Amino acid sequence: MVSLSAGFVAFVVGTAVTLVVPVLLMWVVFKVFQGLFFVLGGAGRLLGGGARRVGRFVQGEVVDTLHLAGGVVTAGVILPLSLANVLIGRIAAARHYGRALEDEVMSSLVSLYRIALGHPARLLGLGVLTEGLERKIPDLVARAPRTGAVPMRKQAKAGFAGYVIQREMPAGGSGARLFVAKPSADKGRELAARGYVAGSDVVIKCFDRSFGSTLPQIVRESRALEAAKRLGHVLEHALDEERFHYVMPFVPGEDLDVVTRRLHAAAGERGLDRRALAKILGYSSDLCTTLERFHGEGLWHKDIKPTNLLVSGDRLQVVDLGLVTPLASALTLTTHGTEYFRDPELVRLAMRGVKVHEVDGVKFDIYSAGAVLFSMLENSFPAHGSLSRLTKPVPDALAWIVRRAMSDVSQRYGSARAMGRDLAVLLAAADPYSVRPAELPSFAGGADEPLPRATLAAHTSNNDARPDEGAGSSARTPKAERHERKAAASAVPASAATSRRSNRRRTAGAFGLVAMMVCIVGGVHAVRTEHSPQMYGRSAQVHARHAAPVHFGPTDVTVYTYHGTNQSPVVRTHPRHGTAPQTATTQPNAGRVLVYVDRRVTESTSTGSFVERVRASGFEPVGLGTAVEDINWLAGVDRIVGSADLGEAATVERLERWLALHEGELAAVLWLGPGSCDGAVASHLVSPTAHTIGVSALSVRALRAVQTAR
Amino acid sequence: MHDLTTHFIGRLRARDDTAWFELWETFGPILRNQLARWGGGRIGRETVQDLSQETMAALASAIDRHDPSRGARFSTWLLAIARYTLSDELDRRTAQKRGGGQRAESLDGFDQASSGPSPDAEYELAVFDAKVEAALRGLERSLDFVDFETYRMRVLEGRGGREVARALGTSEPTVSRRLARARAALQRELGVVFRKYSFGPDEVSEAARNGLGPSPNKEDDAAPDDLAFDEAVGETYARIALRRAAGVGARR
Repeated sequence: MVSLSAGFVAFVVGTAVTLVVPVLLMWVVFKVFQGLFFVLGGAGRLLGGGARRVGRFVQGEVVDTLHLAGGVVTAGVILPLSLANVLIGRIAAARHYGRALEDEVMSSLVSLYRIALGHPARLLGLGVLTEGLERKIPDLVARAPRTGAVPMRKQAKAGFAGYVIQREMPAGGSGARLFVAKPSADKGRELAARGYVAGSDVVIKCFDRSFGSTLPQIVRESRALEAAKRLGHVLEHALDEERFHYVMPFVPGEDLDVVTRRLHAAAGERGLDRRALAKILGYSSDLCTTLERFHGEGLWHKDIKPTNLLVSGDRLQVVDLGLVTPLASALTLTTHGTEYFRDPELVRLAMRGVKVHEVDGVKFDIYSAGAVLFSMLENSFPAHGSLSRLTKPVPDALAWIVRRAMSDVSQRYGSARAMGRDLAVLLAAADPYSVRPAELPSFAGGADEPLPRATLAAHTSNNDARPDEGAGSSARTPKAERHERKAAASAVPASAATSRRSNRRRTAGAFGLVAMMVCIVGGVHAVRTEHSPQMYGRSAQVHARHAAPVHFGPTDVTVYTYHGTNQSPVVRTHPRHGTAPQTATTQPNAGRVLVYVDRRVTESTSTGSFVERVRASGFEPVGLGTAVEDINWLAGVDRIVGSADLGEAATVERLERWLALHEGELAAVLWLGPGSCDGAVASHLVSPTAHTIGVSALSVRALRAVQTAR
Repeated sequence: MHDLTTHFIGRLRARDDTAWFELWETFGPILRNQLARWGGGRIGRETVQDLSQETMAALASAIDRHDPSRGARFSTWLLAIARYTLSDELDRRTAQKRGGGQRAESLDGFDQASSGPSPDAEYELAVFDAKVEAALRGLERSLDFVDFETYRMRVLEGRGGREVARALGTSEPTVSRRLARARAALQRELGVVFRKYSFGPDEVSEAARNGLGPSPNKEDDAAPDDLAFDEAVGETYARIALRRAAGVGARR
């Protein structure tokens, strides 16, 4: 029995050992190989990465050496040309060659820097150290004040009364001559009422038949002047038998074409980084805002293109008004405009002989805005029209915006505001590459709804660097770029969550269905009560806005502000490209309120309490100082309501319209006018919404009484 | 000659500006490119631009004399006019330099299939691509924006179905349905364009010979014919983009 059981045990143990030992051995061998492969794989990746880095280094050095050699040779050719023109007194030509020489020298220096420092630093993994040099220095140099004021070769005949000509600028395509001038003291005072800032320069655009301007040119230019005055683009104009000129505020800066080229030169082969992308988004957003103003005034710019856009500081400004046409004009449509930035459909319509008012000019400006955005992204014009291919790495959603703007007229954005709203989503995103076209407001069908007053996040986030920066400057394929974008997207929590959700959907569809039912019931309330500003754009519902009264301060004045169905009231602060995020709600620092004191209010009347109340309510009162911005705003308001006693309703209506044009900058206008008795002030708080007006007339005595009671 | 062509030629003869613009929009870049090639560096970019506009003017005056029944191809006809314009310009310059006149080459010689210029394969390919591009423009006009963008992302840019679906916030089957819709519309457009800009059946059938004919299988979205069609369209678009990019690069 004992021997039987011992034999049985030996059999069992033997069997177990026979079965288990091979398995264990296999497991051990497997693990050993796994470890080996891991080590080998790691070494391979390391070697591969090193080889790629060396490859990029060599490629970068070769390319930049060639660039340098090319730049030196070109500069060597241009220099004698420039000097020769100086010697023979052709100053304008010398200036032209001088600028070309400057470009070549700058380009050569950049190449030299990359050869000597940039590429070696990246090879050693020190790319982060060179970022500041590569990005900030070129930007800083580009924005440095120029001293290139060249004496004017030939003064305009008889000059311009009230102005001292400083210099002549290069002529534009219209054949007009452009002069930078300084108004005399008297003229300055006269222009101040129209928004002129004392001490600043002005530009005089002059058409003179004696130097080749034609009557049709003069007529065309003069057509837009009154409208341009309303928009604050023109200070004054004059016409005599031989000459026609108008005066505009001088906007220092460079045209967008130059700025775009510099952005791309700084980016090199890596494509635009986030900072550059943010700038482009900002410029494009500014353009949409400007176009919205034009269209709001019933005007069609008709010649939006990079050389007609000026970058001043961080803002984009439209400077040429030569083709501006009233949208409702009864004239026959012409083909004027610039190829590649003008919708071919416009030419087709013009050839049919249609009238201006029979076409939607707004959409043609939007096409041009799309083409300008394309040119900024590609550093090239859209030679292929709406079928032009974006070859540089660009967020999907941004490519979508370009295409929507340049698509067929029937499919295009209905307004500049709709385009601006899509751009705002990208501006608000921490990572524009993570925004999908499906998340844009226009995708959800809300393309033509007004722009929600969403907080714009900073154009540049803390995470400025591209995922691969510092790894060399070799060219990357779009495929590799997409791969990197995916990798980058998966690195941020939101994208990771999306990815996880996607996986879960496959395995837990049934649970999802049940959860969805629960969410539908329970979520309705939640969605109504809370919504993140960053989420707007995901549902057309979210864009719906209505005015809801929000108590403005502790007393009885009421301000109306935007209040989306699903989100807290938000106010977009003044957008500054490249600045830190400025989130504002109706909590303290809720936004800016322009305090406009009517001319009829005497100086002795105290308006300080109103200002204090604005401040106490968490808003920032503006329009009280002498800053350029304050003066511009007040001049703008004064121009539309200050000239005559319009009455309360008409004034408020005009203020509403004006405020709608500045809704990104101002939360409201506090209009302080004369009250019903001496010493009283009537306050009218006008909100940005067109159909909601908060009006309250309170005497100073009544306000004091309220304050005393408290 | 197909009715569409007859009608289009009729519009050109009637000096219909929109027809001329259509012709210019479709074939102007090819003519510019061809003129630049022929010029061989002797003529600058601005002159090429002027010449290609003059080419259209020459087309306008030659259209009345043209008899398609004599067997010329549409592409040859365009080329003949372009070459005539260029030689005329060069003769004019020569005459200016020497102070004496020199008779320009006769258009009639180029107008005949038998004695016309022999366009090279590159030119013929460019004309073919221009017709496909015109069809794509037509497609863009006729389709819903999202449908066209789906087609653009999936076929013209060659992105994956899942990636496109994710970008557009939809499902892959929806992407496939949109693709099928766009494909069918593009096949119709190609048919129209190739008939309009062709003088003979040989030119009309070029689309089918290059994989761009209508698909016999309409049931299955992913039928091999459809995939081949998409591939042919994608390839043509890439060629157009490359050619245009080279042109843009040369102009900057």
